[in-house]
Amino acid sequence: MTALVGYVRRTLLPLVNPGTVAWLLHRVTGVALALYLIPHFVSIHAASGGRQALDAELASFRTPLFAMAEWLLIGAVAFHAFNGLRIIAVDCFDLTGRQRLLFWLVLAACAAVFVAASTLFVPRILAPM
Amino acid sequence: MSPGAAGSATLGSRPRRGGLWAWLLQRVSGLFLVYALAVHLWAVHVVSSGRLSWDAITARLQAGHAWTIYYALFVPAVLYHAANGLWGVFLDYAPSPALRRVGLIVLWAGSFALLAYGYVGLRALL
Repeated sequence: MTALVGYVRRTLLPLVNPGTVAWLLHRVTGVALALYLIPHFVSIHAASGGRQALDAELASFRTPLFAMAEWLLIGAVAFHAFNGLRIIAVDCFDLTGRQRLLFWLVLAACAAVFVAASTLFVPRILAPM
Repeated sequence: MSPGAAGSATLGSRPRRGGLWAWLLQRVSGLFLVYALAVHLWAVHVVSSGRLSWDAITARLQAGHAWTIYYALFVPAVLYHAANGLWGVFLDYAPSPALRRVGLIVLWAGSFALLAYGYVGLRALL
C-alpha cells in the first residue's frame, strides 16, 4: 500500500500537469473527431436514397443514446476548439508563461458550453422524441 | 499542398519543406473551423432542434450564396484539418519512409473518398 502511494506520488502525479493533460485531451478529442467524420459522411450519403431514406436515417438518431453521444461530441468539439485557440495564442503571442492560466480558462469555457448544451440534450436523454 | 509535419517533426527526421505551410494551414483552418462548427452545430441542434429533416437541410442548402460559400469552405477545411491532424499524430510514431507513403496515400484517398461519398448523397438536395 505504501509502495502504491509512493508510486502515485512520485511517478504518476508529476505526470499530471496542465500541459500534458491538455496535449493528451487535444490528441484524443482530435483523433475521435477525425474518425467521427467517417460515420458522419456515410450517414449524409443516405440522402442519395431520397427524402424518405434521409428522413428515416435522421429519425433513427432521435434516441437517448444518440442524444448522449451528441452531447459528448459537443464537449469534444468545445475542448478541441478552445484548446486549439490556446495553442494559437501561445504560438503567436508569446504566452508560454501563462499556459496554466490559459488551460484553466479552456476548461472553464468548455464546461460552460457543456452545461449550456445540457439544456438541449438532457431532456432528449430523459424523454425520447 | 501535401499534409506535412504539423509542428511535430520527429527527432532525426529530415526537415520537410511543406512543414511550415502545413503548420500554418492547420492553424488557419482551425481558426475557421471554430467559427464554422459553431454555425454548423447551432444550425443542426438549435435552429433545427429535434426536427432535422430533408426539408430543413434542403432549405438551408438552397438559402443562397452565403451558405454555398460557407459549405464550400467548411467541408474541405474539416477534411484537411482532420487528415493533417492524423498525419501529425502518425509522424509522432516515427514511421519508416515506406510507411509514411502508405499513410499519406491512405489519408489523401480516404479524405477524397469521404468527400465524394458525401457529395453523391447531398447532390439531390442542392
